[in-house]
Amino acid sequence: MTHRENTKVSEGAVLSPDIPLLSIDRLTVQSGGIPLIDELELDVSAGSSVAIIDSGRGSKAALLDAICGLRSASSGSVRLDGRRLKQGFSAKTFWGVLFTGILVGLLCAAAAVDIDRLWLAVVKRGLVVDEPFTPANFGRRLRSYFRAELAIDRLAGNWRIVTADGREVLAVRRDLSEARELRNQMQAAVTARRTGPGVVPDITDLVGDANEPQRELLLDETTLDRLAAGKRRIRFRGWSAFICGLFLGVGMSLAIWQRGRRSPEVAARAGVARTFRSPRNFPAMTVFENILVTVEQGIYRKSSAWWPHVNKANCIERTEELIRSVGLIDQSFSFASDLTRYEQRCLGIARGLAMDPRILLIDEPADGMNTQQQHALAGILKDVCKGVLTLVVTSAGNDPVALICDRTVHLSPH
Amino acid sequence: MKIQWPSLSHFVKWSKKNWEIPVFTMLALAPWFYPALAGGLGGQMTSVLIICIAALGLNVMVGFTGFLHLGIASFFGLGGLFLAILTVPMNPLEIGFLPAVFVSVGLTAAIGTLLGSPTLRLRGEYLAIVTLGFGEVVRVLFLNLENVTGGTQGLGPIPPPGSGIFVTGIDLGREFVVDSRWFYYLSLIALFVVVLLVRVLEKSALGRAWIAVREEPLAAATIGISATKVRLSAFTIAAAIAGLAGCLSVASIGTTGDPNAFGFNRSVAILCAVIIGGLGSIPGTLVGVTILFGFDIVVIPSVDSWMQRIQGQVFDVSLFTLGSWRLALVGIALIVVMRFRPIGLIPSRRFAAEFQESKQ
Repeated sequence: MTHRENTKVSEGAVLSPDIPLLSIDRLTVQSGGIPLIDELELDVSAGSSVAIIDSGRGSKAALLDAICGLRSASSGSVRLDGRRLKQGFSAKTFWGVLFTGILVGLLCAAAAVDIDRLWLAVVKRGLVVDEPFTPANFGRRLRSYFRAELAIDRLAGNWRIVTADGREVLAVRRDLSEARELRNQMQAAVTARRTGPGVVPDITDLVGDANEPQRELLLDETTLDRLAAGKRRIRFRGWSAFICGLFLGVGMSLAIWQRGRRSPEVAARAGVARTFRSPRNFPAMTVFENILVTVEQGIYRKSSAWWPHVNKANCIERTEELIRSVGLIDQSFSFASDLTRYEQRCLGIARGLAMDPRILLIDEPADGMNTQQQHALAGILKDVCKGVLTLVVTSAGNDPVALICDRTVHLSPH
Repeated sequence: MKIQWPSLSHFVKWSKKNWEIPVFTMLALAPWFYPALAGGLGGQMTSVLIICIAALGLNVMVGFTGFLHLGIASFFGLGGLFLAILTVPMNPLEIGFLPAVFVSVGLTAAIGTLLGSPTLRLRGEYLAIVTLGFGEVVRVLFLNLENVTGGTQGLGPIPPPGSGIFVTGIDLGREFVVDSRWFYYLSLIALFVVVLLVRVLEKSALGRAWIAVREEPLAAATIGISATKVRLSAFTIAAAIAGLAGCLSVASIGTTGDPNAFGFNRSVAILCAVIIGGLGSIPGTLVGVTILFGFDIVVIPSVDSWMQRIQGQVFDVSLFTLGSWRLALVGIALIVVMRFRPIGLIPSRRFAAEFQESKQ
């Protein structure tokens, strides 16, 4: 008991009497166009218990699904403590979306500027001309790739003057210093072409006359134009890919966030626990593990830490307490799949309690039980929940479990 | 007072629970009793141990969270590639082996997270297709990014671990090349660490959340387990473990080799080994890999060389090799296991319970 009182303090929930814990406002849930719940209004105050009675099959489960986020409502709202059970757009979401966008943008840009040739230009060529691998050199080569400057490469003992991406060989020299000199002259010509027609450097040595057969033709007009355009082209590709990727990443992550806003995890984190009619325990886990995993999640729910500290001994103690309270102590270490239907339902209720919820939704606890078992379940619920925990129980009729509740609500008027 | 010696049945019971201790002790002592491990056999055993590590990574994903993962070999290859990029003398980084392993495992895990975060919301078969596609993308990237990855030849030579470190005048790197027991022990230690890690994870809160999501995703969601986050953690851990295996693999071979080795075939072979051994079971995974890959890597070459000798004496030509029937034999083994023991050779406790439930 002390455990639960502590959590109330830690959650800091000061409940004013005029705001009910759970308030359902004009809720409509449809299935295939047929309304299962039509404009339902329901307020549940803290610490009270409500039985929802309906002889039909679908409506009660649909209501509980709509409360805990498993099913989306077509209109209306569900509020816990006056707050909607929906994830807000927090700073964390914003940074996450932005980070994803930038990352996708960078990946797209890397693909667009040809990461393979970038690697060739930045890493391999530095080794070829034997430059020390300092950050300054690294940055210089990176810049020279994006400026589409000419570079020197080596093949079979010859020094080649190549374009930045290494695709085009402009000249071949035997001597490195000679190659360097020629490269600088060529680069000057290309830079001059880029800056515009006003600047004319002395490139008579380079731009040869095609009619003179003895002179080597190094850079003709079209090559010069192409090389001068290279810088603009690579910049355009990089930036446009980055912007496309940014939009793609931001859009995708916003879509994912939007889809996950009204999910059961959000409701569970707010403190809504539910059990199912078909018990939906974890069949290949023992009873003990079934409850332990829920207890741990309950602790994670209340902790705001990124990596919450879990006191294992406390968890185990709480698990044992819960197992004892629903009378499954003899079956602690048998698999949930081996339990009888009644025991499975008890386990379901224990799992609901294990989350240490603010409101517990129990779906048809009396379904398929004989009278004795119904009374036993009613006793359990009375013992562990009543007066402390807010309870919503659904039922097909006025069975003993429904009778322990403070009030009853009939879904359909007939 | 009479001392009561533990009987054999006690030992059997104890070793069933703590099977790692006898198994790893035996493997660690094996080189003393079997000197052939210093030669070619040691290299073959090392590659089996390395595949065991990758299979344990896959087991985290397939066994614990129940998601089909068809691209484990691509993470294996990525880990190896990062190690190669960081260490080969062609590249300027040339950092030591151990930091390179840490960095490449981290990078592989990051790539796993990147791939997983948008795709793990998909249901079962769709995720399998995503991982399948990713595996092919990685293989094709390896082939096409020739300047980074070395294309079909691969990156190499990767300096052996400990090269440049001298212990009492002996170069450790040279020892690693000469004597394959060094790599054998390195992989054995890595495998042991990974086994312990997976075991701890299985018994942790995260491990229970994995199982919960596998068993009843709906119920897991209503107790606040975010299925996507939980699966993402498993996917990342699987990627990291496979990346570690890839690092060890390329370091022991000395080159990343042909990228086609990191394709779909390798992924499916590892998956088969996990299924034969028993999904979600650590000893099962090890047994499955030992049977499938041990047969492939260790048994077949030795049997073939023996048969060639015999046939050469009798017929002067070699008529039959087991190697050409390798895949058929593996297929038959898979069919037989699936027919007579569908939960695997050493099933995990949980899967046995689940299987029984589905039978009822």
